[in-house]
Amino acid sequence: MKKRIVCIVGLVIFACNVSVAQSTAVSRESKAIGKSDEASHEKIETVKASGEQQLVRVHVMTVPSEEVGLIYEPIRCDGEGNVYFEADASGISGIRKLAPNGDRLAMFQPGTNPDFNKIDFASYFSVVDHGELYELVFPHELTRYVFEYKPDGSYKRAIKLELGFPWMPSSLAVFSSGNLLVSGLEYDREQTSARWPFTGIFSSDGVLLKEIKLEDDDTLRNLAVTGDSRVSSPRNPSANLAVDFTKMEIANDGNAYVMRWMNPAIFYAISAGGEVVRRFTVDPGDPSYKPVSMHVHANRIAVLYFRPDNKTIVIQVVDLEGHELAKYTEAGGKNSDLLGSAFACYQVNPERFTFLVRDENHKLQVEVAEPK
Amino acid sequence: MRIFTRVIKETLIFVTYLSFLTICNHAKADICWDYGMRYAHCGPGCEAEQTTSCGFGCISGDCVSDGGSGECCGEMYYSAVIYPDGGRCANCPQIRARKSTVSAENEVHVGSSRAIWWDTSRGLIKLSKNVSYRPPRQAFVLNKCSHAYGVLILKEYPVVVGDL
Repeated sequence: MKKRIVCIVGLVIFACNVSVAQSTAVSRESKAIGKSDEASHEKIETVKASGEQQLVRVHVMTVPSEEVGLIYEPIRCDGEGNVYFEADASGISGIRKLAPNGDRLAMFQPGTNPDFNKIDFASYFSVVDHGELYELVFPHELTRYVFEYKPDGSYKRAIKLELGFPWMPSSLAVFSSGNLLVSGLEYDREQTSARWPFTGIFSSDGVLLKEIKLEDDDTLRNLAVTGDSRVSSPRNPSANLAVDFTKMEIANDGNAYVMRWMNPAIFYAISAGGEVVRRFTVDPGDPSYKPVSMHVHANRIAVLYFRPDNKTIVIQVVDLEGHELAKYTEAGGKNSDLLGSAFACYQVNPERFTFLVRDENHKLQVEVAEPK
Repeated sequence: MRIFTRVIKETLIFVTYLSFLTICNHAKADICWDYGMRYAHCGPGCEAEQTTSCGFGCISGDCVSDGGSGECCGEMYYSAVIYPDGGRCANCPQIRARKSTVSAENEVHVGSSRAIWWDTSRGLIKLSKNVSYRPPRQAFVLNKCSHAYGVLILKEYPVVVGDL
């Protein structure tokens, strides 16, 4: 009996210690990312679920008609299971929309806009419920635009983002009201200095309604100022990868979830009115991982982390407050057995993860994985 | 009278030359550039890559859309490279003034192809966290025979502290 009591007391003490250790680690991390005491929005400490599960491929579909090289971020899905992606391939430029059976339903090409002679490049895009696609487009001028396309890929209109100073937007989300949340970097007066994060809500016709100051903006800029490798790029000396590779999606609570490309990943929930509802971080537990991709479905967020040195991935699933619900790794094996990092769709009930892969013949493969 | 005319002519030529130099020094580029950045997936078991494109921006210089390249999972890809010329961009007049919370000596200047920052306390240019470089300096050396000063250009190699 005495032994049992000793065991129970021992277990309670052990559990308490683990709990204290976890909360200490979280608060240390939070300080490192530059939390300010004045911030008024809700703050969440990540609660970790125990254990990791493995993802296994349950379905592979090769699409012989779709040639691919590099596959670019972002990759999107809509409510009907259609996949939207852009990839290198000879003679094909633009975002492709594929049906679940692999049929190509549409192409979204900024060059089809008759009002612009030259498009320098296009980058981030977002798909809304009815299948309209919004794309950040950079014509050969300093003004930045969002092009809106109909679900069949035809050009609908150009939204001129009225800002009044030069900047480089890099991510966007579209609220149900039609207002746009756009984030990017604005130039410093000293044109060769590190740039400033900028986030704003624009009306559906491109007028800036509200500038949003995010809690970590100054910290991220300061990291770029000092050349910190976490945000610097060997290809682009003016980059701030935390901002340049930001991801955004709208959840079913109506808020936009913005993920900064940091480890731990920094999330902000931003309401359609421009209020920062909450901030939280999602920590993969290993600083070598980069948060490459993020998808929101229903009330869950799936973050894919990629580790460049050993090319492994980890997917963390959290709720809309950042509480960890699951953590997945992929079953090891040959390269051909791996899922890769091109994370296209996340679906809840049943929980499914869709990936795009280039096969050895440069054809697209759509792979679906589920927890083992 | 001839001498006067010649002086006037030479003065005019000199003034024209000076004006030309002044105008050149303050030349504004008509087209300036910036990078468009994207993250690209190569394939399972391969490195994902950051790729760049040429876009209209506020960096004066030339942008070559296929100036850089790489190989990823056997796939060749090209990336843009901007070669800054240090000029000002006529089309970027309305940049907002923002106040930095980092001291000026730690600022990274990104106009050149590599990010560098000054460590003024030691007269070094830092190329990365652990690699510093002292720019070439001039020194004057007295030649006791000719009673004249010779000019020496002192060049120094990068200083590496720790790992690259």
